Amino acid sequence: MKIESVLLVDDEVEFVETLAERMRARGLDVEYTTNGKDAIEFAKAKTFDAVVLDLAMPGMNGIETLKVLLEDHPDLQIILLSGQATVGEAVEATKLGAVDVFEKPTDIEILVKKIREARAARLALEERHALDEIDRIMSSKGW
Amino acid sequence: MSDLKSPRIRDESLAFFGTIIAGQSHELTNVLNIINELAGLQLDLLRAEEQGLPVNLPRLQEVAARIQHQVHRGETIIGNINRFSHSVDLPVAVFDLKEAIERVLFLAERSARLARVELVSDLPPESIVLESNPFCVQQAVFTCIDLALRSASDIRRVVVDYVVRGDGAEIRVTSADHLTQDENINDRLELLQFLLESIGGSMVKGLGDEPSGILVFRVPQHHRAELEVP
Repeated sequence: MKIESVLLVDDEVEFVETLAERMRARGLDVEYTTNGKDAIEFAKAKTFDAVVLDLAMPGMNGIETLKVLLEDHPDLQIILLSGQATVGEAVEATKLGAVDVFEKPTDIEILVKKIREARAARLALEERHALDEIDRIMSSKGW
Repeated sequence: MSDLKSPRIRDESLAFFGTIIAGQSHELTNVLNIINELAGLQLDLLRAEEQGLPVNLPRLQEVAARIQHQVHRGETIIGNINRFSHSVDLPVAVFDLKEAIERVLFLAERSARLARVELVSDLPPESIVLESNPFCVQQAVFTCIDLALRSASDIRRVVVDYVVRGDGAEIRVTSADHLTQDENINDRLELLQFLLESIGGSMVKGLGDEPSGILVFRVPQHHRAELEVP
């Protein structure tokens, strides 16, 4: 059985390492990085069901990383985590395409549930794209 | 001489205070988030017993030590916030310059990290006790660091040190790269000038004086009589 794959991005090494260990214990395939630039490279190399992204990071912050990730992979399910997100930041992230914004500390069970939902949403989008492609081909052939 | 009661100085002081407290509250939140995850990890490890697996005692001890480390980190943050907050208690106080600069370096660390700049303390062993406005001195040091952080996009290292010279001290903030001057920076430089005047200090070296980029200002050891207090 396929398991949910998630990329965690947070500049607090101890936080992200511990969260990764706890998610792996719950059966998830987890990779992590501490900056947005690396996250973009990770997402190019592998298809993730979800990306859990910290808002405040050195260099590229969460919003900037979110924009690039969604430009490269429009169907990517991105969940933002924030220490103290303002309402404005949460609204901006959602408008840009984040599927959810959570305040830290977040209950791991809620986060894992959200990642599982993200996988289902990603697979549904993939299926829809495949059906659209079939429709397009059939239309082009006059069927 | 600039007046500490002036709206500009008051607004800037409040903004500085807010920047520091907001930044440190983020740092403290980070500490609590790590403790939360580590405590969760301990519970996960203990739940192994419920599944008939042996409890990994060394691992539990290691996680407990990591929690203790984070608690110490939190205590350091709170201690620095507390001392910083009390620096506004008195308009004139006797304080150790080295301790004040070390505190500013600690409090500025988050800004530096977010700007991906290494903030280096190169303070000499000797210190000097000042009789001045501790809040203004800290704000002047922070403003110099802030100038160094924002004045060039490719700065990656900022060094802070001081020398005790005559009846006072010269505080230096040195960037590895050339500091460039623009409109935003002029605003910060003007603020620095205001702050220094209010504590009887002066700019020794400003932006662009040297290719390496260096800011030096002087603070007198005693600045009680002339100080205008709110």
